[in-house]
Amino acid sequence: MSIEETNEVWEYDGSYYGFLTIVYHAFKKNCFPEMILTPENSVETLFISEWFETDEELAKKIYQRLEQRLKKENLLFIIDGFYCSLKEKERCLLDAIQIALSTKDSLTNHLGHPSILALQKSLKALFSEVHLFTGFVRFEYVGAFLYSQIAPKHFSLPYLCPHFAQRYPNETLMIYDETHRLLGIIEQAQIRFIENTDPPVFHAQSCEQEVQDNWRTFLRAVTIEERKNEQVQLSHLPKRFRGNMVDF
Amino acid sequence: MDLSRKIEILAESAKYDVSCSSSGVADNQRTGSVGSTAKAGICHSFTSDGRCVSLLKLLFTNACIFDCHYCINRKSNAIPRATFTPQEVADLTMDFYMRNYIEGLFLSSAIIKNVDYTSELLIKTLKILRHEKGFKGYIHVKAIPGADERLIEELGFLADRMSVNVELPSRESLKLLAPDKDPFALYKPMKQITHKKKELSLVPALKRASSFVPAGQSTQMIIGASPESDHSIVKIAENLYQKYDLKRVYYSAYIPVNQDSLLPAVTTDPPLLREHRLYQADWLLRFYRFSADEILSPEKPNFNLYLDPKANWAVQNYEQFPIDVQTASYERLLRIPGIGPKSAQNILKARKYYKLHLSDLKKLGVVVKRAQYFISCNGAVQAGLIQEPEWIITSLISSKQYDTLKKVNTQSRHEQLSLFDVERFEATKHKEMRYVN
Ligand code: SF4
Repeated sequence: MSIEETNEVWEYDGSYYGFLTIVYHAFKKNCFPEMILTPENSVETLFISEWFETDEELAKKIYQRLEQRLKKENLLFIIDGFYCSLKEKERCLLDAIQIALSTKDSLTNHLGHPSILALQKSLKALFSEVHLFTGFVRFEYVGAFLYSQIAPKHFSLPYLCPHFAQRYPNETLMIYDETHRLLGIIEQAQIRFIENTDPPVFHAQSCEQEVQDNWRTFLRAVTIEERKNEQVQLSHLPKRFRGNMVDF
Repeated sequence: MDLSRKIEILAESAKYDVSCSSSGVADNQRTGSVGSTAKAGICHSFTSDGRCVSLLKLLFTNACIFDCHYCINRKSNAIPRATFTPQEVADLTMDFYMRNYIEGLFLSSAIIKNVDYTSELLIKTLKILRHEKGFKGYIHVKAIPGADERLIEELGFLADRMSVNVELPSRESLKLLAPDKDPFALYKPMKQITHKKKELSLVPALKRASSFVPAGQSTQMIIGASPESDHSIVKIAENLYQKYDLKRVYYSAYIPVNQDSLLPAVTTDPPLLREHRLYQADWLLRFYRFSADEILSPEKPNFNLYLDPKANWAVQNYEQFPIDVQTASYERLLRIPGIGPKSAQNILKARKYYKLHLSDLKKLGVVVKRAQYFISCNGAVQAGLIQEPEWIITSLISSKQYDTLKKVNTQSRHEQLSLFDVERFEATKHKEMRYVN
């Protein structure tokens, strides 16, 4: 299957279903555009683009097709790839889908291809951020439920929620991602999301001062003066994570 | 006394206990409604000394009836004392766990009243956590040597990991520096835990088996408070791994806290570099199939502080090299500096179908800069290498590294018996520096 590379510029709404609609058109027309934009980055460019309207029905069908034809790990690679913060990821993903369709091999064996390499690197950054957040998220009780606010660089929240759903199987929690304006809600281990929303406003008061003070007292007490090394601390716990942590 | 003050005193007292090793238990069999034990280590914070915080590490009490010379909590010290109640520790653990500050609890204790009474308090704390609060998260608890066997067993069913601290590497030192402790009682709980685990594992149908110290046991030794050589310390560690199937041995550089004629002066810096070398040697024992007697010997009982133990071994046994990467067994490959378990495995896979060339090794994860002095590929060695031990040592340590090591090395000269003459080494390094300038 040879696909024509054109110098067209396409644009879509940036949603997951929107992207799958793009995938449909690319394979239907048998051509890959040079660039794929979303409203977010289209203002930065002066290119004339062609708009593709999201078609949910079609997108679902495409997803089913991919599910049938791709190895499970390759499908995961592509879906996760959609959520990483790589510039022009859509274009890389089209390459990835094409490679995955034409090979029985795992995509991670194709790191020689610049698109796969770029995606792989970006995924690594995403997962490493998710791992760090499993430790650095701080909750506080607002009334009867736990609330947290984070500012991740990557689209980490959906990957983070299952961890907390397992950790607190009987609780209700909310995690708000400031960067992506996304609210994750976990109720008795069931996860759902509200997109493009402001941080929630609470009527109940949080009375967490004492617990937070105790925590800071503990941290101060376990520090060994003789071994002080703030440089190491900074490399393990970079400043960008500290904004929402009560530790500092 | 308010809770905050207790935390201050009793976290401070526990801070020298290492082992930040959090859980490492895949989801355990415990019943409960809150929490889980994560497989990969999760760090929840980092203190300004750069250490990871994953557990709420506390002493239940520091009001000790014993008088160990090296310990800040010994009864003859005039320091503020505090004791938690079981309820307080349990509440604090839950408070912190629910806010995602910690992965679990690490509870140790000084001896209050007597060993059994102390153990009972620990048991009570863990019972509140497990049974009343439904806490499934990670708990590491210290077994109190000398306590009744039944109590040790009960604690074992409540905790994920238990540790009995060896504290000092020899009976003589223990007698001298920890006069109230019975050196024989020390290894008893360790033995008991090993036996119990084995016994329970023979009946797999017993669900109880999986909830008895599922994350195994560990221990800690203080380094530099007593005169034992590195060789004897590594020997003990080897013994503990073999005999009691210990998960980890921790080494903690002694930080002088007491004015005491039997101990290094309070102004002495902790031997951090030595501690670092011990951890490296420990890796060799656990992952590289070295025996203690290969790493050090009675004739050369201390580490070369400037060279890691594996490179040191290789240089001292230079007649065994070069090792040919095309034909050598896995064990032999592991002996080569610059080759770890992963790159050794990569070599085994890659050479099945290909004749390896020296230039392939980097891609397989080998640190060629180190390995080059010790390998050959299908008989060929790197061209132009001078293969002479003393020269190799000089090449393995850069001037910058050497200067850094020298700065962190707090030990006196007579302690660093090494293969090479430090002064001569220094001279060569400076010559090299001049040349570079
Ligand atoms: S038993 Fe010894 S080491 Fe333990 S707290 Fe008491 S004085 Fe310190």
